[in-house]
Amino acid sequence: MSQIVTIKAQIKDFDILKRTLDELGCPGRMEMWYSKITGQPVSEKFTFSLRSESPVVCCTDAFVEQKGEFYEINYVADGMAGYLSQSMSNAVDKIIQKYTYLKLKDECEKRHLTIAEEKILEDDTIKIVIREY
Amino acid sequence: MKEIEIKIDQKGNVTYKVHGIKGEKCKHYSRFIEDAVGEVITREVTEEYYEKEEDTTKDYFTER
Repeated sequence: MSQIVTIKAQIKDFDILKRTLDELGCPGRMEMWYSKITGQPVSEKFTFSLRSESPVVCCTDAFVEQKGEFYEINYVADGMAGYLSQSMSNAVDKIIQKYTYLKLKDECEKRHLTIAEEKILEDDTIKIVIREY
Repeated sequence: MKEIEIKIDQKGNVTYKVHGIKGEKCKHYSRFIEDAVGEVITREVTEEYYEKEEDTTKDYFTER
């Protein structure tokens, strides 16, 4: 082994993010958001329904916000606490994990790299092995 | 054989290990992962990184 690298995931590819949401069964669409005070349109956001089953089943409105070159997933969390808040946080983590997986697969395909091994470990970590002879 | 083992944890953060490539070539080979995923938090190079690559060109000529 010559190097070990740890990387913090950041969402940069909006098309892959949309594909991720489709594959997780929570497709979104562009929606106009209006000011609660003036009723005037404020901004257009990619909106979807965020669902979680762990540790409790719940659902809320979520949206994707662009911050510079990155995208952030935010959700309506009014009055959410405890297990509900944990569930939503887990749901966002799941999206980011799936996004990272699809993004890496996409990059491997572009470079004609072969994925020799792929599995989900006991702690839900996804393991991919790229091998070249 | 060149190999990259990638692990994506529950939060989407990635840890990858490179096998079979030495020196700077190792960084170049796996650079696409860093560009695709995000911000590098830690990088640890091992002994294999500092090993010299075999000079196959020399072997080719000395054998003749």
